[in-house]
Amino acid sequence: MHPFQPSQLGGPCVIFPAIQRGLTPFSSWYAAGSICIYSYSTFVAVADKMYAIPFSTKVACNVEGIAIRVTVASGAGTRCRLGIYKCGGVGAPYPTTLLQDFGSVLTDSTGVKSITGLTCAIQAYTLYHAIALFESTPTFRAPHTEDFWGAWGCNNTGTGSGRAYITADQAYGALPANYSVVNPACVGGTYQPGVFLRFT
Amino acid sequence: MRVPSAQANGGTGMYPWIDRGASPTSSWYRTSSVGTGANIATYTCVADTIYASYFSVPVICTLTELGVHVVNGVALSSARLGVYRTGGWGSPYPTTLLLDAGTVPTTVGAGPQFVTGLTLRLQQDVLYASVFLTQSTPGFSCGSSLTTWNTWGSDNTLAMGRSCVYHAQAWGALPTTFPSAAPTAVNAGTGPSPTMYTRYG
Repeated sequence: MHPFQPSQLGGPCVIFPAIQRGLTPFSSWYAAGSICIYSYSTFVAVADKMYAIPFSTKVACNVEGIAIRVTVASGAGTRCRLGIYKCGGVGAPYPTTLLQDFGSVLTDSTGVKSITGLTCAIQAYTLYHAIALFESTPTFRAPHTEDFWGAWGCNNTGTGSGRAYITADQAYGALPANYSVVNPACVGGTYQPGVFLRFT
Repeated sequence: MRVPSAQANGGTGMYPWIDRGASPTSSWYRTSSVGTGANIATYTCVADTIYASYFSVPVICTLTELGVHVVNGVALSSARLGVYRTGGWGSPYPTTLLLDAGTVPTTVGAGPQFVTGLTLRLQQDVLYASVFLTQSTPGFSCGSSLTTWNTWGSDNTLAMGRSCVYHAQAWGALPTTFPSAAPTAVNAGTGPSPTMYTRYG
């Protein structure tokens, strides 16, 4: 059990209690949903699938960058669309309306794929979802599930992993103004999709 | 259960509550720790280096004890312990010295070593940096990456999380200002991250 569980604390959640705003002394990228520093592996994306990973901060700030790290490239010219959605709050954490569509990065080669220089204000103690929508099936960096906040609890088998993010079907393209609810699924597993954020 | 305001704010980022005092349980809290994972690991220090890890408390209280756990000692060596302010939740780098708690031995067989009788008053929901300055290269029992807070995120490679920072510092009294030139964050990977132990009253 992690101490940031909102149901446990009875109040707004904080997934990143402390963040480094700005690019000095370090350029710090925070994996959405991640609260520890545990090991990273890889995750294979599904095409036309939107991944939503929750995050929040203890201080108001600006999202200056968003990134993924591609470890196995997908087909030539294929992309991943990145953005942020608002949500209904800690009592209704499902993504709701689009906060900002940051555009796309190519996933047809390996390495860090980032969009920086962004201006996207984030309120303190407010739950958001970082979004990755894939056009193809690249493999990308993924923090370990034990590193993650259990935003969606467990399934009803009593044996499943905690679930940190949700997915929904969405044809690749600009992010919709309202989050898709086609075939939504809360997902657990050994590794979770790594969508990284940088703050100023 | 009615929870204090800091807890209602989602905890202080590390300890959602604390046990003050030594009864009914004697509770030690590892800095930068967010879980109860059993993966305690040994972190081998560099000599003449000051390491900083983080803590905060959900209620106003007093830091009464501060320590490290020596598992691989070095003859005739010590560590100096203390606490620094930080720039806050949006700028966690250590800033000015709050407490130089003195030294503890880090010799072979030293085991848990604590400075007791401290009276450092701590404010609720404020981010502090606990530090130790090494004279030699002891190994400390520390939190693993599995339970250590992701204070500094990943570097530009998105390769691994970082919890603590360290900087070269000549052995002696703790500097009044944490050294700022070319600091380094510990890239923990799956290994240990420098942490300390605290107790409150």
